[in-house]
Amino acid sequence: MFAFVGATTAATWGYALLDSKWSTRQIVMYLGLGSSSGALIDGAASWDASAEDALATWNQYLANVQFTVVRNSSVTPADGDDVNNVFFDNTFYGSDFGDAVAITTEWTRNGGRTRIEADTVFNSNLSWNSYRGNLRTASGGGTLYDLHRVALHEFGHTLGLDHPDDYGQVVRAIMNSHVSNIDSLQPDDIRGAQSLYGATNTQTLAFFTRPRAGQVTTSSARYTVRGHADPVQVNKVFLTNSRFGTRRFFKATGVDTWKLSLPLQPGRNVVRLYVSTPTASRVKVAQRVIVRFGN
Amino acid sequence: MIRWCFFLLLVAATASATTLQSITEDEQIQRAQTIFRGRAEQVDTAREATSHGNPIVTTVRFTPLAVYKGTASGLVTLRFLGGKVGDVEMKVGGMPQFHVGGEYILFVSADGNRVCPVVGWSEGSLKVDRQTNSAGEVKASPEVAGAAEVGVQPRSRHVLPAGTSALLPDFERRLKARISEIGKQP
Repeated sequence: MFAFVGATTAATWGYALLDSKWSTRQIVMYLGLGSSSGALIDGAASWDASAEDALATWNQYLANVQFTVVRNSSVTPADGDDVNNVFFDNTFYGSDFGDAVAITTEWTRNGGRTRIEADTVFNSNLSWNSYRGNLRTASGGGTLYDLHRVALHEFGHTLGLDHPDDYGQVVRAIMNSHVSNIDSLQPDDIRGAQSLYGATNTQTLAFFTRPRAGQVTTSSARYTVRGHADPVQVNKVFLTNSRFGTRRFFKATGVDTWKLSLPLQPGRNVVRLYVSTPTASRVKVAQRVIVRFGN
Repeated sequence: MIRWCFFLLLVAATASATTLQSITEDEQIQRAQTIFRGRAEQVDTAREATSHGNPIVTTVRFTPLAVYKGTASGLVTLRFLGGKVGDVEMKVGGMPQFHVGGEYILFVSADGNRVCPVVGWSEGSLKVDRQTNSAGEVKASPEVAGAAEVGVQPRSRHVLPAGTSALLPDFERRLKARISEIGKQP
């Protein structure tokens, strides 16, 4: 077990690591969560789609390992079969969940250092949906559990992350032991995973935190893009919007935590990230997000 | 001899991959059928063939030393999922950890087929340390020991907050009083 406190002058990292990690470059996840009985709040087409989005969210920050997905898995889940199953059930391999909302197993070899299996089982006796924002109350009372944020947390364990707050670290992280209103990966979560599996060179400089990944749709002509940059390596953060040309740069405010209210044009706005460093005025970060304005 | 046999879990270390419902101290007491202090006499780990795969199972046998709620006598056997067999190890976050000769206060569920037979998982298994104080000191793990919880607010009251300790006589007195108060509630 390892907890890390960053030594940089402006940023303190609190992520904690389990003792094990994957030695393969692909972690194959067999998704068998099935379809939901009604529409999910965040628009995900199915439980599998929500979980797949959580996996993709982790993927975008990792250089040396990637989750790959087998959708609608027909594999019969079994414990100890070296297959990573993700599914709902009313028991955990035949045993009552008790207080558990979700359980992820950690199978290892080589003195506990190498991961060989990680099944995640969600407790189907509880009320679930997939949504963003603050935790909600279920119609019958109690918590309406958000599969997406619990999946982000559990898949963080699958990668090898532990709870930073269990080690006295006070950081904002979805990997903290209390899962509440934080619904997305935080810089500390990302740095922790990158410490295990590396990041592309530019991702060590800066990355987006809003939108998290892929594409977001808005009805407003402006969208506030947010992210994080390494304050030691980065002086300024800039963004481009394809709809305004690739040579027009919009300067974000802040560095460690940066943001920019970006103007949009109707349609598909491809937003790219650049940073200036002490040695280069414009370094393109290997990441982009798409903000769709209007229909 | 009362013997409980529970299926599932144990984790040898503080692995972290379980998310729990947030429960209060009173709920933890209410959900426990038996609360007792006992000494771990034997810890056995083996791989089992079941209809759900081949999990590693650890069986722990306790001699009850004091019973605060319910009944317990003879050897109490609890079975947990997880452990280490050869070079293969299976961990489930939040599982309590036991050592032969160790003394623990356990909040045991009524359900004999639970993933974790201890209510509150690692929070329902408190180590009693007699090295620093012969009267005994009840210690909660400095870590929550691997389990996360989901809820708008963190638990406002734990039986013993993570990382803290209490003298055994004081803890027992408070626990018994709380059990008595809860028992009087309609």
